[in-house]
Amino acid sequence: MSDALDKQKKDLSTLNQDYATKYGFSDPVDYFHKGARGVSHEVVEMISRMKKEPRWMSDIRHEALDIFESKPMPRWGNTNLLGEIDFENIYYFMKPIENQQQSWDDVPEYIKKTFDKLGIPEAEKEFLGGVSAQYESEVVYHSMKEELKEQGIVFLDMDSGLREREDIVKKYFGSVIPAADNKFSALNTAVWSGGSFIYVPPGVDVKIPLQAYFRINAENMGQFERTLIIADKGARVHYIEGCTAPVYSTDSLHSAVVEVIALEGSSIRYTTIQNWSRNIFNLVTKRATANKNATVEWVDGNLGSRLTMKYPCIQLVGEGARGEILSVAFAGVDQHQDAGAKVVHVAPNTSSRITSKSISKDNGRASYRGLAKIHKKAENSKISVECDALLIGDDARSDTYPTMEIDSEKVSVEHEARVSKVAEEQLFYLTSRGLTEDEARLLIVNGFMEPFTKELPLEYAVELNRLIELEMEGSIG
Amino acid sequence: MSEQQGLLEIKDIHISVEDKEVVKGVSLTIGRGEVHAIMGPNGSGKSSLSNGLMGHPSYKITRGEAKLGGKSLLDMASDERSRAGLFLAFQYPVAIPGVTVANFMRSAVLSHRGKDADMSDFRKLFKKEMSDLGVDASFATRYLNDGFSGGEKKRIEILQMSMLQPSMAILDETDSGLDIDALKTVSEGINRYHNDQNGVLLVTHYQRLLNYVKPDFVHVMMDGRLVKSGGAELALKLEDQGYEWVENELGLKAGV
Amino acid sequence: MAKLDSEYTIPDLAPELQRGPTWLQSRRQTLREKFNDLPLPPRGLHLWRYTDPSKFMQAQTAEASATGSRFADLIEQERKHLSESHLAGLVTDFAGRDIKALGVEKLAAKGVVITALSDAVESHLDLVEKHLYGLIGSEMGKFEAMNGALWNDGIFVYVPDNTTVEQPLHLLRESGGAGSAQFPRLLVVVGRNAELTIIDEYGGGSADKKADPAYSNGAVEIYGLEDSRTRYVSLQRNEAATNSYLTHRAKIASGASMLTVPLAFGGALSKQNFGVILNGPGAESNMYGMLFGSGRQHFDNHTLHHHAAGKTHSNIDIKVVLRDKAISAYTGLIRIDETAQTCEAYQENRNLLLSSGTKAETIPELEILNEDVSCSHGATVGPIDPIQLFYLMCRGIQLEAAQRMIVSGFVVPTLNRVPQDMRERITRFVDTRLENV
Repeated sequence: MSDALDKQKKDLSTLNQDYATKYGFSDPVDYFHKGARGVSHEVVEMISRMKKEPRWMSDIRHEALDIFESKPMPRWGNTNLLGEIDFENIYYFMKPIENQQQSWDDVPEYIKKTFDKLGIPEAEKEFLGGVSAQYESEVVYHSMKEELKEQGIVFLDMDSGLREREDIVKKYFGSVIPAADNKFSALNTAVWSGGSFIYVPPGVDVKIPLQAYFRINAENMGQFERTLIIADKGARVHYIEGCTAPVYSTDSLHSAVVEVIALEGSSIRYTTIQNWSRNIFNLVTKRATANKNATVEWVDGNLGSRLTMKYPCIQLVGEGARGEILSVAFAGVDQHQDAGAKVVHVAPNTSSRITSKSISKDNGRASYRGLAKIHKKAENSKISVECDALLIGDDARSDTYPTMEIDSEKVSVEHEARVSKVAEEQLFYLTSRGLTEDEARLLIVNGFMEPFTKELPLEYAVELNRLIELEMEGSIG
Repeated sequence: MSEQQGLLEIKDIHISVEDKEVVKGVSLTIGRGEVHAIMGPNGSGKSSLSNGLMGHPSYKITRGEAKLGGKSLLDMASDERSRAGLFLAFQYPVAIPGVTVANFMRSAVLSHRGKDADMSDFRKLFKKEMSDLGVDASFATRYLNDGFSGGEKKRIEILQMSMLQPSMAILDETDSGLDIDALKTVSEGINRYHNDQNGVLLVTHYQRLLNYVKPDFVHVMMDGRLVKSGGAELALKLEDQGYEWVENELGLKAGV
Repeated sequence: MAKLDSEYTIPDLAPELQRGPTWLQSRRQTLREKFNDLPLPPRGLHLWRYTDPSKFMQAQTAEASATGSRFADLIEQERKHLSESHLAGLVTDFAGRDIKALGVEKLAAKGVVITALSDAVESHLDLVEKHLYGLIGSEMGKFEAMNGALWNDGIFVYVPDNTTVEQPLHLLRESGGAGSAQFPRLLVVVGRNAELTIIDEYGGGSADKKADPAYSNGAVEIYGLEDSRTRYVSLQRNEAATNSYLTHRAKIASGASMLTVPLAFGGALSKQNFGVILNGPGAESNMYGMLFGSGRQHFDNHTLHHHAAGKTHSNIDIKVVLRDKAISAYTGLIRIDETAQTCEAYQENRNLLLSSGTKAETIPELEILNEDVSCSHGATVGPIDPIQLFYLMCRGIQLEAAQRMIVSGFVVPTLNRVPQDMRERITRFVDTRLENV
């Protein structure tokens, strides 16, 4: 008993220490005051050295930087907005200390208002607003952590993961998303910091969803976070990251890489909700491999950011693997949500389903970009794709860019997409029952989002509904 | 049901679906002029038996033999079984958009009569059968089973049977989903078709079709086997007392 | 002999550049420069994801013979149709150079013009100058610029306001043999409340797979003025060693309707781009296409429905049947502009795969820039449904016949959308192709 208590105390204390080493508070002060912008081998070396990483990781970073520099920007998607990214003007490791903490006054009004309307507690507000660097996780997290440990589950931030389980990290890091995959995965590989590392041993069923440090934590919201999740044979786990409340950051670029590996017979669900403030470019690469009879599910919600480009992918590499992607996007004023999903069937008897829901409001633009690919050997595979887009307002824009590449004959591939505004008949029906038009519209929009919200833990769902209500009232942005 | 008169002779048939055995050794002989009924609860293997005999790609016959008019069916492809005189009216006929009922029917009849056969009577025959079965003439140009109601599909199945005049017709749950008028029309169709040279096998869950088409023999199927046989009165008893009675009598549920 | 040359540039002195009046020569020069300046489209990027653009870099140097030959029987048969008044006219086009219009005298009396583009440049200068390059000009891309600079002669069709051309007009285009390059061009103007049906048939080329391929790069511009009704069938049945590139653009004004039927059966490599711009309220465009690929045929088709005006309606239904190692890539875009309110747009692409070596890529795209729309698309890829096959065989129909029946059933609903009077002709083309399935 007392051992456990000691352990918990130790964990608590190391948590803070950990944080310090990670963010380099113990390192020479002058560096912070330099505020080095831009990325170079020097910066990469600095990151790696401060984290006291093994040489192989450092090598990976340097190699990735070369790839990043040699790769052109994507020639598709919102190339105009992408062109605005100034890589030379970004802090890749840490900001000068004076910039690190801004004052509450700097937080945009719309974000503060949203916090109030959502009823976010004071301490959390400050963290989400980027004012406080740290948010005290509740004790419940630590007791949860104990429970997990007993089952052999590893649930750490990525930096600790690399230190404590180097063997596993070395085996899987970059195995699903190599640095060379795209320009942003290369950048992330070069400068990554933070993220989550999860390993679930064979046969272990993680009953409660693992949330990135109980709702929020600093590491998880890093600019270039790196997440690696491995479910060993027959294991089951549900991971949740992000939060429905808006997150404010002065960093203009968020570029994460998430690798998910579902070994034979395992099952992984990954739920994300991003609500970055509307100055942020959110360019994320997420990919999973599903081995024999494994199941991978992405539940991916995009509410915030200025431009999001994110297409969670599942590679079905083992016979009988199953994949499901539920992608939701809400594009409000000046936002472009370029979201979507990819499924790549490599093994026979695999099946996948993609459901995409998007709402474009005011001058917002929501794009679905997808890939459904069946390799020659993936016989008897099945893909079903359904995209629904709702347009609200005359300036709203919706795009659908699905790609289906089918190299096998005995397969079934179905794709359907619909774009429409809120149906007059539905509005009429509801108003004839006494609802105001606004109430009716909100009800319809909530109904439209229902397939997504019902997959979320209750507290997220409630907050999301409230957020949509605010959006519909036009009180955000 | 004497051996030498056997039209359809099934011996110890075993059928598997996706490696799961669903019919576990059924033997049955149906003579010319006879009407048989197989009754049984859902999942007892009745439909599997019908589909297996017709050569459905998902139903594999793993053991046993089946002969129609002395010829072994099992080496034949489904079209050969059809031309050999076997007919199955499906419980759930598949829709084939783009293929009209008339075009399909003509091809089917032609395949039975042979490539160079005289088809001059086809249109008249087709019209007559449609009207006898209460099928609207407009169905000729509709796509096969595409958007048909349950009852319409069943009528079209019986229409095909009348047109093709098989020697042995298996009717799989033909009564399901029919209202009383449709049930009567369909039953009349079956009775018109039936004569002393052909055989009928009714596969059904309920007894109500048997009020209109009188079976000479009734078999009860459970868990992939024929567990009891009798005359028409057996059907009435089943209607009255349910399948539990058979289970109890045979001790099938012992220990549960 | 013409050779594939990805570095090819149009020389300053290419004889085609000197053809036509000064304004035309100057347009040709601009397009020549455009072609020379533009790099080859980068592979992998959008419309070039599945096709190697260098395959269309074939120089215009072949000395093609003056008259075609392969179509002799067909021409004979069509002459008969002409005499029986089943056709409005027959235009033969050999190698985009030798244009002959037959049986068009009666229509000429009604003011209908069916003639070589080189003649029209003189005789109908205003119409030609106003419309030529209006839809396919220098902004379209490298290969469109290539045709624009190098077309030798084309076909011009004009139907005056309130005039109905009852029977279809048949354009019969034959490509030259191995190593030849041709740049056929068509310009059609259908006047207000006028009506026209065109069957634009492309054939010939090279059948010799060991020799250099024949190459055809075509451009079709069609203008449907207010309340006009135009039906356009494009039939590609090139010989087996022929590569073809075709860009089609039609613009229809308010109240006008356009039916486009793209049918692609032949050739080794075929890249076709069909687009209709709905430019006025009440405009309606339908595209019902079919494609049959076998052997190692490679098809790369695009469609565009661009709703530039409100209260417009469009529908696309493309059926693809592939066997052996044939490949089809289909990219279809529906675009609805910000100002185009109350539009309806639908799109469907179904692919039937008959053998295991086939590849089908389908990309149905939507770009919707305003709220007041109703828009949907669907795509499917799959083999013959074994349960359908089983059902037919259960009724005694043999395997091959049952397969044919299902393939035919697959395309019939699309075929049935084509108006009755054209359906028979198209069904004939389709049936010939189905026999080989």
